[in-house]
Amino acid sequence: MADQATFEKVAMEFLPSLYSGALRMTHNPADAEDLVQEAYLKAYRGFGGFEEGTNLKAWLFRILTNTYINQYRSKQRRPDQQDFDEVEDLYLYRRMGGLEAATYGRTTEDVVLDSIADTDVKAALDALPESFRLPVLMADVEGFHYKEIAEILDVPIGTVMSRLHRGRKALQKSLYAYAVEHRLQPAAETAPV
Amino acid sequence: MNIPGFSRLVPDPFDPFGSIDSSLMGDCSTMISRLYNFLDGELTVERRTMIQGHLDACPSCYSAYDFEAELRIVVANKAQVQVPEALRRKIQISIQACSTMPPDPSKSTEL
Repeated sequence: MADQATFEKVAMEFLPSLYSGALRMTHNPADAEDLVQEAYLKAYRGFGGFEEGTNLKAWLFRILTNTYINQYRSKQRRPDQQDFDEVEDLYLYRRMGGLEAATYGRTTEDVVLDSIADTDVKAALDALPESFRLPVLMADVEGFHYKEIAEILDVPIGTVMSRLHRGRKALQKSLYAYAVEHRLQPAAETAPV
Repeated sequence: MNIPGFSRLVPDPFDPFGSIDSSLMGDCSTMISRLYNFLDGELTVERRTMIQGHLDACPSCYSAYDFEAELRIVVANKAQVQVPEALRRKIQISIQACSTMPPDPSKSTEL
């Protein structure tokens, strides 16, 4: 059994990341709290197996992910990746030109990026099928490398890369639907309907 | 650009005037296909240097790269959530309770 003070000192600093991950996994604050608590307990019990010098945050995420898959995922049925069409490259960027009417002297890029609210990002992430959502969350929000994500999710690196590629494009399409269409549509008469 | 009724309204950012030398298009499409790997810092030094060289020379691709880089920062910042005050304490209490109990081999963590 690991020393309690040592474990808390090194592991608790990752609580915001783990809670954020749990929330995007479960879509529900109560389940997210239970999941994180369960994951921390497992991590504490298994802390002897943590290899010092390796990435503790990645190790904690692996426990979080496994706990989620084993105990929570079956509760929810979300659309799988097959339900999502391939999205073109630079989906959001390519749509900025149509929004020039809304710029009011600022660059279109700033207007598009400013128009994205916290709730839009979270809703867009939550709308992704899980096989895309988890890699995108781990890479773009938590900053994990491909190799770390491959280890956390227990899939080959090539799978991580292709899911990230498709997931990021799907995220842009989803963000466009939530942020740009909702907010800028009335000002941008040239935007698609 | 293959959205009905939209393609006519928006110039292709990579060729707004239809004037890009077609011999350079291969470079732009390679650039776009590697853009995420470049932003992720997951390319070999040679590929990284090649992409950087293309970005320095191609304003269209640089503009797209700049947008993607900014977007990633926006997503990372706006995906942050506030941890409920009580959760940290709850976790500490459950760890304390666990460490005062005798070890239970059936509850060992499986990774």
